[in-house]
Amino acid sequence: MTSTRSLIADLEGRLAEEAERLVEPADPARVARAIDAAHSASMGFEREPRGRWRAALPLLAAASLLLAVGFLVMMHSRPGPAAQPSPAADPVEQFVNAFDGVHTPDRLVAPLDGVQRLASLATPSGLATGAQAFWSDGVRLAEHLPIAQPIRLLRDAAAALRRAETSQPPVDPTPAPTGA
Amino acid sequence: MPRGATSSAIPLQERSDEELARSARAGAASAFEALVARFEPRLMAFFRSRGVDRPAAEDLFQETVLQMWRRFDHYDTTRPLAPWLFTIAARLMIKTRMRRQREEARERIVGARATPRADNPSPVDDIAGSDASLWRLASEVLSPESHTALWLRYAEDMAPQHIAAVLGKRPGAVRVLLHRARRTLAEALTHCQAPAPREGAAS
Repeated sequence: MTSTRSLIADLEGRLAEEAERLVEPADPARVARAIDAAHSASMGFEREPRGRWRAALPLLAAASLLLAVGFLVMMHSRPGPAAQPSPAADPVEQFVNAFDGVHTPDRLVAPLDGVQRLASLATPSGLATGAQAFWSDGVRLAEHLPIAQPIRLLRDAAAALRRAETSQPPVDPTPAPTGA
Repeated sequence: MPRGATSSAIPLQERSDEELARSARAGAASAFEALVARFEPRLMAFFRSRGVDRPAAEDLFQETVLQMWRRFDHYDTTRPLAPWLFTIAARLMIKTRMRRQREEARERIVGARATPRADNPSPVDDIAGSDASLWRLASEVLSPESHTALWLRYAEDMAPQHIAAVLGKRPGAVRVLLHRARRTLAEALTHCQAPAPREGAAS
């Protein structure tokens, strides 16, 4: 036990001594590399990160306020059930309305966001109604549109509708004979 | 916030770590560089003492410097810098070690590494050439936490309360940890000094 204690006492001196020997002289190249790495990896946070964020806070607050106000305005501008009773509030109708004019080439760009959003909300029957509205020119133009998924859904729905329509038995164009 | 409160008349070399850190936080690139240069040998030795090879130690050093730069706003300038910096370094080392262990386990599962690679010497081998057999032994017989505590105590001359901050423990627990680490190391040393020394027999 005593020898262990003396060994421990000796150990403390040796630990410090050997640790000193492990410390190598400074390497300026290594220091320079580390500093370069820190600077290049932290672009935008070069100085006083806290100060920067603090300075950006009013801007963030203003942006949040604007967003909130914009959201409220949007909510109020939406036709409510009381203002415009049944058809306008119907998502299917909204969907069809959103496609109004999409098949006109010069108006392709503007309603795309709305189309995309509504297509994701639409029910299958809404999609089918939208497909009807989109029928001839729209399907062809859809091939060139940048929003793949909703347009693909719409195109498929249109194709399904077309198939369903062509598979129906032809209606006799001659008027039904009337009695007497 | 006492930002940039240090006198610029004092040469960088003569300023304390904390003064340099305050200046660096205020955006003084030269103060930051002086700090990095000051801590480079100490951090490299810290990593190397744990058996990290030189290239990996340099990576860890770079990562520590990057974290220091990014997290300066979290540093409390009223406290000593070294414990804060070594906390970053120690955590990075643990993270790296865990990642390496995961990779090794994955490699073993895939069977890509049936035999140990000759180009990847064990940590103990890596510092075997250095004149620090005691630290080599410590890296064998002590847990990473005990080893870190011992290094901070004897190489960095850090007080137990600061070591406690690095390890996330209470000062009393650190004292116990240090005591046990010393005892384990002393016992291992007596085994090693036995007539027929065996390689890696210290556990």
